[in-house]
Amino acid sequence: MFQNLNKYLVGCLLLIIFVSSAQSREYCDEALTFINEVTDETLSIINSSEFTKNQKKSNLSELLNKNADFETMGKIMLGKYARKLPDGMKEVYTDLIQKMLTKTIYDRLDNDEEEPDVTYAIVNDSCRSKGSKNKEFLVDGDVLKDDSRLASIRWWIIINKDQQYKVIDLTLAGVSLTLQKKDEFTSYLSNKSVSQLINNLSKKFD
Amino acid sequence: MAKIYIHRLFFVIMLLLMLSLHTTTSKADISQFIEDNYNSSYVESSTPEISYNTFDPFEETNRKMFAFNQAVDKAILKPMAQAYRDIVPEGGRESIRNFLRNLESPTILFNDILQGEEERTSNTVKRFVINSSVGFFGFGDPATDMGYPRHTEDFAQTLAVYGVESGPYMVSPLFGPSTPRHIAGRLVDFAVHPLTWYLQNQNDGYRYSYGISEAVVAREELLDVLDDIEENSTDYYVSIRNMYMQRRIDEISNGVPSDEPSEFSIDTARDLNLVF
Repeated sequence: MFQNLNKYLVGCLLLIIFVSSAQSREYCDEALTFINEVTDETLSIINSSEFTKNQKKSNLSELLNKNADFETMGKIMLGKYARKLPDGMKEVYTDLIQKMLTKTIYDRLDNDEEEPDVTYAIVNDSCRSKGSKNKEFLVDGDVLKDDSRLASIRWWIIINKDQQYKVIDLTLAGVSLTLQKKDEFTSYLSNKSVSQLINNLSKKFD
Repeated sequence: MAKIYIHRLFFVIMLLLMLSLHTTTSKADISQFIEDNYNSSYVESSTPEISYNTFDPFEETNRKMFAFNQAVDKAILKPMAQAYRDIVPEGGRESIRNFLRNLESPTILFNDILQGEEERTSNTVKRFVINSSVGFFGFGDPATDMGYPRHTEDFAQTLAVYGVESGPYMVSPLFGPSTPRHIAGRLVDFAVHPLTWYLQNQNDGYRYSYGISEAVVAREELLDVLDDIEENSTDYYVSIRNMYMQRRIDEISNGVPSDEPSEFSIDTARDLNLVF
């Protein structure tokens, strides 16, 4: 009887391992597809000669709204200070983070308009899950400028409560946008309050 | 009967082992997470905390030096870089950039060899030969189109590869963001570069022209980027420090994304009910 039980338990264990690994692969495939769609849309905006600057900015903002989780990004940037964010200010803060990141990313892309003949491409070629729940993924790839490798790119994405994939960090040429802002905010908040930070962000980005 | 007991014992041991391993891993993950992101403390600290991923014990002095460098930049270097951009068209600037980069090849080669990077060593040699000949003394960069893209190496990166720690963050006068390892690396790179020895026997004009043109060309490349960072940051000094540290890690790992510093998990934070 126990021998049968042993076989049953071993079988269950193997099944759990197999299902979990297959699930992880499946999620990673979906994550990669999601990122490839986001990069295709981003590049079609950047490489387009039809859009004006303002149209590009507005399209990019819309794309980021749809695919990035600004609330989580904002919390990562605040780190331990996130608990000091008053409930009434959470929406204002998230809104400012969204404006700040959209502007930062747009400004960075806008500089490259000086070279109109240059074509950018992004090849995302690997994905791995992180954390223990198959809800976070790192997708790595390369940014190509006229087919030559320009820099590495890493996307950190999560599956949110609504089961949607969302970007929470972008690391370009080794520089993580979220962590750069986290460092800034940590330094700022070491001798100032969260409200002062929000006022500062508001002056700059509102 | 004994066989049955052995089986049961085996399963109990396996179960306990799995549970203990799981617990150990979780605890290690959590403590690492806290260590990395919350500076080992949830308690309010009266002393200013050290910023994430950077070690800046001389921050006060560094900030003064940063302000000095910024003043020099705003008064001299930035206007020179802007004038250079206004006068020289993009094509000309690219040729000059290529020429100066080609001159860096001996330094890159020296460090490729020291790091035992065979493929990169071969790439640097081919780039130098192709760009110096077909590329007309390095003003063109046909090597990139031929499949030999540019990479950078310096002696500080070589030291890092051999395990030498960077030391604290420092802002050097005129040279900007740095660390003791980077400063030592710059000195070695300067000393072993053939151009340094060649220029020793030339008049001061040549020496200064080379140094100034390198600075102006490098600054021109960063005109928009630095303006954007300054405009979009809450603390320009911290932004530059963070970017410098992250970029150096990227350069040392030859552009291969590392698991640090962003390797922390939202899952763990949610489980701990810290911020989410």
